[in-house]
Amino acid sequence: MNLLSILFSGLASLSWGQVLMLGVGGLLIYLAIVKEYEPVLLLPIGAGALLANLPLSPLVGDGGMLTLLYNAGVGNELFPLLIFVGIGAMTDFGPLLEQPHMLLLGAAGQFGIFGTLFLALLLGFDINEAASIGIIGAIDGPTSIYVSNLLAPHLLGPIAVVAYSYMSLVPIIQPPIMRLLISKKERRIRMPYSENPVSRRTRILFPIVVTVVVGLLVPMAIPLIGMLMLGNLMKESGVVERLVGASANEIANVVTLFLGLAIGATMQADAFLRKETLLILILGIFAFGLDTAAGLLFAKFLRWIVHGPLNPLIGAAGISAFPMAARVVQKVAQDEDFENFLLMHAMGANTAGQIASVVAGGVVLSLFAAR
Amino acid sequence: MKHYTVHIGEKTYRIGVQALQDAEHLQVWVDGRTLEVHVQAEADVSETAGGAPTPAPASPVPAAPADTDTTATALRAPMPGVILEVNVTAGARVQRGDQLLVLEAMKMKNRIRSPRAGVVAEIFVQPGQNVNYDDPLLRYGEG
Repeated sequence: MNLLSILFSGLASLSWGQVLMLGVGGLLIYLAIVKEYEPVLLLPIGAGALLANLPLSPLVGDGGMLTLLYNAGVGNELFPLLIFVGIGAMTDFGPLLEQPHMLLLGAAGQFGIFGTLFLALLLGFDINEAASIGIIGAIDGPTSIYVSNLLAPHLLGPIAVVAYSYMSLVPIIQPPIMRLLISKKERRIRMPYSENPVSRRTRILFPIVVTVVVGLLVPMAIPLIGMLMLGNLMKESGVVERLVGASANEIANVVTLFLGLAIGATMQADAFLRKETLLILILGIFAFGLDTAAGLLFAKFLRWIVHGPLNPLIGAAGISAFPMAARVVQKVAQDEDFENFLLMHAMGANTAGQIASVVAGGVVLSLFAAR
Repeated sequence: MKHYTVHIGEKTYRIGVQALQDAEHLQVWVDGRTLEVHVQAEADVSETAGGAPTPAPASPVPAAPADTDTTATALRAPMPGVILEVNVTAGARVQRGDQLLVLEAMKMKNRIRSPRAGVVAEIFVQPGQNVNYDDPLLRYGEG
C-alpha cells in the first residue's frame, strides 16, 4: 500500500490545471512540429511547459534545471540580449541603407504598440501590464520578452507565447488587411529596383552611429540596440568571422533552447490559466492587425506626398517580423502582377521595422519602467 | 519633368521623363508605369527595370536607335540573387506568364515568369549562379 502510494504520488497530486497545461504544452509542440510555427522557439517552450507542469517535477523549484535557466538568463535579461547579438550578425541592413526613407515605414509599423496599450488599459490591465501587452505590437520576440520581463514578469509566459505564435501567422494575418486597405490599382504599382550601392565604410559606420544616436535619445534602448548593432558591426567589419559565426549560430542556437525552455517553465497552471491569458491572445492579434493597417495607411500617405512610384503594400513590411513580412508583401504584389518585384523595397522597410521595434521597446521602458 | 504624347500605330501613350542623378539616367512614366532608363553615349538604350510588356519603353527617349540588339530582347534580373532553377531550354516556345527561372533573393524563392510570348533563343545563366540586378538572364529570338 505504502509502495503504491509512493509509485502513484505524482499521479495523485496532478491537478486539473496541470492536466490542462500539459495539453497546452502538447498543443505548442504540435504547432511546432506539424504546422512548423516558429518551431525553433515553440518546441522548447512547449517542452518546458510540459516538464514544468508534471507534478513534483524536480526540474522546477530550488536547484531545478528550468528554474536555474530562468534565473541565469531570463530574470536578468541575459538571454534575449544574447539573441540580439545573433540577429545583428545575421541581418543585412543593405536594403535599408539603399533606401533610408524606409525608416519612416518602420516607425509607422510600431503604431500597434500604443494602440494596443490603450485598449489593454481600457480592459483593466494596470499600466505596466498594458505596456507589456502593447509591446507584442513590436512583433519582435526578444523585445517582447525583454520588456515584459522588466515591466510585468508575471505575464511573460503568455506574452512570449502569443508573440511567437502570431509571428508565424503573419502570412495569414496580413494579406486580408492588405487587400482591404490597398486597392487593386495601388497593388499593381511597380517600384523599380534602385541600385544604390552602399560603401563598406557606410555599412560599418551605420551600427556605430545608430547605437550612439539611439543610445543618447533613448537610454533604456541601449541594451537592445547596442547588442543588435554589436552583432551587425562584427558582421560588416569582415575581420571577426569566427565571432560572427559563433553569435549567429552556436550562441543564438544554445540561447534559443535555454530561453524557450525557461519561458515554457513559467507557464505554470495557476499563472497561465487565467482570463488575462485569453485577453492577451485577443489583444495580440489586435496589435498585429493595427501595426499592419498603420503601416499600410502611412505608406499611402507617403505616396501621396512623394508623388513617385511607391507601392503602399510595402507599408505592411514596416514591422519587425523578419523576413516574413517582406515576403508577404512580395507575394501579395505578385498575385496582381507577376512582373513586379517589391522584395528589396520590402526588405528595406522590414529591417527598418526591426530597428524601430527595438527603439519602441526602449521608449516604452523609459515611459513606464520608473513607475 | 517633361511630358510627351507618343503615337505608336493606333495607340497613344502619355509619357513623362525626368532625369535622375544625371542626364543619362532617366525615370520614365508610361501610362502610370514607372521605368528607369539608362541612355548611353553611343545612343544605346537599355531599359533597366520593371520589365516591359508594352512596346513603348524603347521609344520615349529621344535618339533611341531603331535596331534592337540584346538589350531589347533580353530578360534581365529584377534584383540580385542566385539562380536556383532554369525551367526552359533554348528553343522553347513560351507564353506570357510561363515560368522561366527561379531566382532566390533574400532567402526567398522568386519565380521569374515570361513577360511576353516568344521563343527562348539563348539562356545566359545556370543553376547556382549569382546574378546582379539587371544582368541578362536569357534572350528571346524571332519566330
